[in-house]
Amino acid sequence: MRRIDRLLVALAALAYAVFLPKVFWPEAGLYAHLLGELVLNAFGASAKLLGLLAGAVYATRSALHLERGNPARLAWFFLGGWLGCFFAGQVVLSTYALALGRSAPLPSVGDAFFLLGYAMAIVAAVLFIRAYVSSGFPIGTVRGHAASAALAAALFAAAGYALLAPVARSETPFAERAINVAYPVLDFVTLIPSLIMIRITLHFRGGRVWTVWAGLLVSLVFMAAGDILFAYVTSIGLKPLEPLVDLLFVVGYLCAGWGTIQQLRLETT
Amino acid sequence: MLEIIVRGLAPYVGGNMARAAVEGHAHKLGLRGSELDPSGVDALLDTLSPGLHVFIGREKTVQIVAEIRATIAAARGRR
Repeated sequence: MRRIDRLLVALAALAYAVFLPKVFWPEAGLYAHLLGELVLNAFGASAKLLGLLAGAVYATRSALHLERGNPARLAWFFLGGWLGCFFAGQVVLSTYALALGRSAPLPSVGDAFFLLGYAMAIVAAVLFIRAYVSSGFPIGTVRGHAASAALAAALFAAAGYALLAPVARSETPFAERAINVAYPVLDFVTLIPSLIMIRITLHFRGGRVWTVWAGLLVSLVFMAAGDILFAYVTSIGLKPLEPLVDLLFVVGYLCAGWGTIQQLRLETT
Repeated sequence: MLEIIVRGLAPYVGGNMARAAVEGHAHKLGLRGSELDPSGVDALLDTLSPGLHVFIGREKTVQIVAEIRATIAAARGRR
């Protein structure tokens, strides 16, 4: 493994080691003396920013490395734009947490970047599907993928209603509730084309194309879980689960960075 | 020859996809049997290449195809 891969994997392992025990033993001496709020925030912010920055840079480099006219080129640009917007949003959140010593308001300027990032992620996923279907490789029929998308949309609508109704009915201010519902909904929308990508890329199991998408798709699942849990933590008061939210986002962003690194390496080495 | 092409693509697109793509494209081109003449090999690689561009880019595709051609040439030379 190269140095950057090792760093991302080590940070993901460290995130598990510091955030997960806090869910079960929040009063442990370790968290009172050594790993206080500020230390955990600094670690979490650094790991998230590194994963997102790596993802934005490597996805953009992957796009630039592809020749003009390649159907996947624009998709990689949008994927880089998605992670770049999330990086900017995370910079805003981290500035509040580390420099101003408080949580960012909901909504904040950071949310504008995150929402723009989601739009880019959805466009990227659709462009990837179009590009991969155009490759002529046997990755399933358009009809089959459309049926999967329709089924996923119906399941996500049902699951989304069940999961988000308590958040929408919570006592928090309207703007906060709207943001808390919007992110998981956008996650579900992003997951629909992503599920198609999972179906497509499963055909590439055992190859390096698969490792790229394994990283990116695991990342999306972790981000969606993080958004849903965040909505519960802030709306319904599940504060003890807050470290789990950080863990999901940290690992999700690191996986995104890892996946894009594999893509550039696939194109160049 | 088909097996050499499959083995050349497998590290990138996986063994199952490599086999399915090679056999599918060979079938479309009307190429039958595992032994192809040089023009059949060229036709098959030319048909597979644009699809590979989408996943790994033209530069890497050219490199992989060159390696496959070299392996096939070496295999022919041994006979």
